[in-house]
Amino acid sequence: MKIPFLNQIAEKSKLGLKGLCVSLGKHNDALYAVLAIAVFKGIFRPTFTMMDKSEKPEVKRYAAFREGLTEGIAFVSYFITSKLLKKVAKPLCNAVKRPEALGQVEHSMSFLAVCLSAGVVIPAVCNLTLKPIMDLYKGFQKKRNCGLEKHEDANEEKKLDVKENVVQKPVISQPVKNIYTSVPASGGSLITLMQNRMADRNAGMKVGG
Amino acid sequence: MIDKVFNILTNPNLVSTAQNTVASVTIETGLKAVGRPAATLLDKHADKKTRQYSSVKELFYQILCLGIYMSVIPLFKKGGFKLAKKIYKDEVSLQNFKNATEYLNYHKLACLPKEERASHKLMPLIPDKEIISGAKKKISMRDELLTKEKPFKFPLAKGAIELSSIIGSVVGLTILAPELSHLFLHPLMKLVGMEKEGQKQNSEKKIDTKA
Repeated sequence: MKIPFLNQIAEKSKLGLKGLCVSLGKHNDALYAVLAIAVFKGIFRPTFTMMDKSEKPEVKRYAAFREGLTEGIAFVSYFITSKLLKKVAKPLCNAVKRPEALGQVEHSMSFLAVCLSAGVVIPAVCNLTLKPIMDLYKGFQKKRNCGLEKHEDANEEKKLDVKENVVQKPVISQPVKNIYTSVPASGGSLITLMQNRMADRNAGMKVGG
Repeated sequence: MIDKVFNILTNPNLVSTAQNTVASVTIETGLKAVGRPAATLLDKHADKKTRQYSSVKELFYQILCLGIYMSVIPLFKKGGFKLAKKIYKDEVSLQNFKNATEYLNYHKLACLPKEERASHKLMPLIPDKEIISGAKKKISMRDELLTKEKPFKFPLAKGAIELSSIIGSVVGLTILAPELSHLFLHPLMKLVGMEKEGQKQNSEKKIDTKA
């Protein structure tokens, strides 16, 4: 069964793909592949790190952020270095009076920019920027964790309050002494006797109260 | 001086390499294998042992990535060209060549100056068959290379190979290489005495948080 709508989409994508292929065939650049790699590494590597179940969430978040950041730095470095070196191509061609070779020089410059970025620029930029940014991130994570801990503490306190109010240990009453039979043999005044009696009564009243 | 720089930049080999995805990614990964460990060793934020461990690990990782990439990419190149031939059955530029290798040999010769082509080692590998085209005057592939200053380069065929190489590079270096390299990385580190049994996880954690 033929569906005209799907056929149209297939035809259009075939044409689009053909255009892309012809364009790449005429003017492929070293930059395209490395940018694609940087973008997909920036997506996949943090994703794989976050999927690792053997690590703590904090460690995973830290590592994933660092990986994403490294690839971000790589992407920007490739792009900027290539743009800068390509700008030199035109004056160079003009200086030797060979403007027709501009395309070739630009391709070579782009390739050199990729090599320069991979070998020198990216490692240097990462060394300079990664540490301070990751320190900032660590600080942010600590603050966030402190906030979470405080929040958890508050929750715990509340829980404790509720416990204190609701669950109370039943106070087991002591058997009431028969004060009339346990009168101290010596030194027991009437006041002391009365006090002991009242105390025992109070203790008894607490049961179930 | 400027002339020399210009001559280097317009060298056909350099221009051809610059427009070849596999060559440029291979060189880039090779440079990473040198540059990253060197930068790690120069990094003064970490202590000496951590730096040594990281740089050796990075060196092995990049070499393994390069090996995995080199073994995976021919599959993508050949597969991509075959697929393009199937999708675009009416395209003469693709139907002229049996496979990707045959086209790449032709393209390499087409990028060279005319006088260098006849004596090149790849010339005998070019089939002596007529180029299928809409033109009335038929010409063989060899004649196209030997008589014309700028032979036709069949951009669709070249683009199909480049696109499949880009896809292969992405799949190889972002999905396959990181996963597969872990199988070899720790045994290699143990082999050179940088890692002991049971030390793997601790050392990884250390480096993760220190860099």
